Amino acid sequence: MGMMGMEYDALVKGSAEWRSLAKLMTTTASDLGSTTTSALPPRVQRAGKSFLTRWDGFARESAAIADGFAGALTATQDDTMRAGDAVDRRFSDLDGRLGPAR
Amino acid sequence: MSVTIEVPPQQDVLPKPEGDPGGADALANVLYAAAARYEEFADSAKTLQSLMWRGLAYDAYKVASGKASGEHTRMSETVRKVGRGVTGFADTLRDLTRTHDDLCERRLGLNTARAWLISDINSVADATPAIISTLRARADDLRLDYAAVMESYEDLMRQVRKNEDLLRDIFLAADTLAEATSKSGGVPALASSAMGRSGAPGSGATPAEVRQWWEGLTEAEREAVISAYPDIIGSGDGLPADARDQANRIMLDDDLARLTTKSQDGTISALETKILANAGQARDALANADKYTDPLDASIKPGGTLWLYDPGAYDGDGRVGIAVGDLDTATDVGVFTPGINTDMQDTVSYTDKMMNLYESTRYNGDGSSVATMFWLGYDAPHGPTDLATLTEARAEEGGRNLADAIDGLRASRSDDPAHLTAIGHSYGSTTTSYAVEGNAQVDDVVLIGSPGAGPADGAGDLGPGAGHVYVGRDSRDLVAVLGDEGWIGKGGLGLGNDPSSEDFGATRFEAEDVDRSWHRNAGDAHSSYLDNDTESLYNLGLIVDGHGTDVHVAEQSHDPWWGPPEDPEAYRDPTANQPGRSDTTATRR
Repeated sequence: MGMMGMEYDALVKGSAEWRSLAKLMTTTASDLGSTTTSALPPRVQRAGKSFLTRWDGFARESAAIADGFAGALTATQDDTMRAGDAVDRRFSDLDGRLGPAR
Repeated sequence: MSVTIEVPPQQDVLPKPEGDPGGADALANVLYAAAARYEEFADSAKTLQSLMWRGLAYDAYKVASGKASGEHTRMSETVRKVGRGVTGFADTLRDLTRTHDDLCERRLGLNTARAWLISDINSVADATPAIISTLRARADDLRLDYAAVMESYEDLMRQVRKNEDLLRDIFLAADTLAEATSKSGGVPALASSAMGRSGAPGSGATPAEVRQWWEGLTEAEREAVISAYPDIIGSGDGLPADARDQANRIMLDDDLARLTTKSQDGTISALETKILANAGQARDALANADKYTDPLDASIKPGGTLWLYDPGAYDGDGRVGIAVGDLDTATDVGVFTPGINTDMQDTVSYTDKMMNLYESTRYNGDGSSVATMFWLGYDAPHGPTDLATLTEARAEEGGRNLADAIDGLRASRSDDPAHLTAIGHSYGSTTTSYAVEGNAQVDDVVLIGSPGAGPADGAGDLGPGAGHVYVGRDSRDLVAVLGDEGWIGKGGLGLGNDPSSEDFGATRFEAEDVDRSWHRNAGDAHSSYLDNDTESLYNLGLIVDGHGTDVHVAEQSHDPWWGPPEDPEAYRDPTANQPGRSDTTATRR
């Protein structure tokens, strides 16, 4: 296994930025989904509508991807915290003294 | 005896092309905003790869976020292409709707003529053969005119359908995930196959080959490549100016909408902020040019042309070319190259000056059509403190770019060549000298406020020769006395020989300003050559109009062996707004 290590605050910040991206893509999806094609000629409206519907879906998927990254980073932070606490307890329970003091 | 005169039936209303260009523009803006968000996603996903984290989990995270970044970059490009397609559709629909309006007016005129004909027929009491023949001839003419309108209308509707087909194909080329994440997403087959043919711009083809390629395309293919490849068409030397203008306006709309979204989202970079500001300058300059009216006929709007648009070039200084008038058809074309301190933030100001030049040329001209272009296609030094100002390197490189631009203009109308004048101001005059040295592609060369003519020893080295090289210098212009003159020279202060010197052999024209200072300066004296109602602008107009032999000649400067250079113009009283000498503006009613 290679080296391990992390800067906790960077993970927190990264997670927040992914959430903000998720929000941005949700807004984008809503914009695409609510846009009308009524300004286009009837012969083109169907293709236009279908395109917007698809891209509404793509944007929602992007929002889900960003949420996924945010969630994974948050879970990593939580896991790290929990692991840190457990390790902390294990080490604070250690008693290195000899004799009656032990 | 009864006589029959067959009057053609009245023409019905011609249905309008369907669709609303303004609404289509709004749709394009939504797509540009989406492109901005996908771009933000891709950029952030890339940035978020560095989280000061190491280990197997991080390695997996990095692979996944890298993939997301790449895919979202391509999606941004695809939705952007579709946005450009919608902008192109809207622009074309706007043009076609204008054509439809013209046809409707013609139809109404014919219906009125028909009513008059029927009235005249009914009012005839004694139908002589001559009267009958005249009425029949009028009826025949009317029939032919109606047929011509119908033919034009059918042609118009064919173009309308092709425009619609193109937009539908663009949507269909980007509505699956595979297409959305592909490099060719949003590009209809009509466009990609046309761009794959020999001679396409961007392929290394010469301007002449590019023009031939364009001539071989159908109207539908032309519209398709303009929409799908506006970045390539917009800078394609050899292509008609109208095609470049359409493509560049699409790019401009894209930048304005996409970068405004990023600015509002707070994710715009420093370079993008510059690009957005440059785009704003191009938009405002074009708006001014588009509404400008001709000085001789207020019903004529020569219109603006966005001939070159590259707002991110040179670290955000930008490259741009905006013309007032029709570069494809104008009899006289002037190309103006500015000097140091000029970047795209000066586009509005210089386009205004091009209107001044257009006006002077038309107002004092022979009635020929005119186009004047502000061309900033090189990296102009930033000012006296920029070391690049002291050398000719930027001028030399800019000269090559300008020579290419001139080749492109020439090739785009090789069967209908314009009278072409290259005008350079300040450092731009050195750039112009490099472009036209031994290059007879231009008809006339003008150097104003010149610090030196770069590689030219004399006027005979420039353009078609000494008889076609003109120089304007205000005697108080500090920059324009830097060039070498006389047997001592000036120790390399300037950028080559002083073209206003008698040794150089160009025709010097009057260019003194009535507001000139008592001392030499690099301010007003150097920057007023294109001001309205000045001697300089008057003479520039005559040269652009092809009448350089009519300029008011000024005595050249000279450098006697016993003393410093002398400028006889320093002692002449300048004029302003004097008809036939410095009056350059029409009074519009």
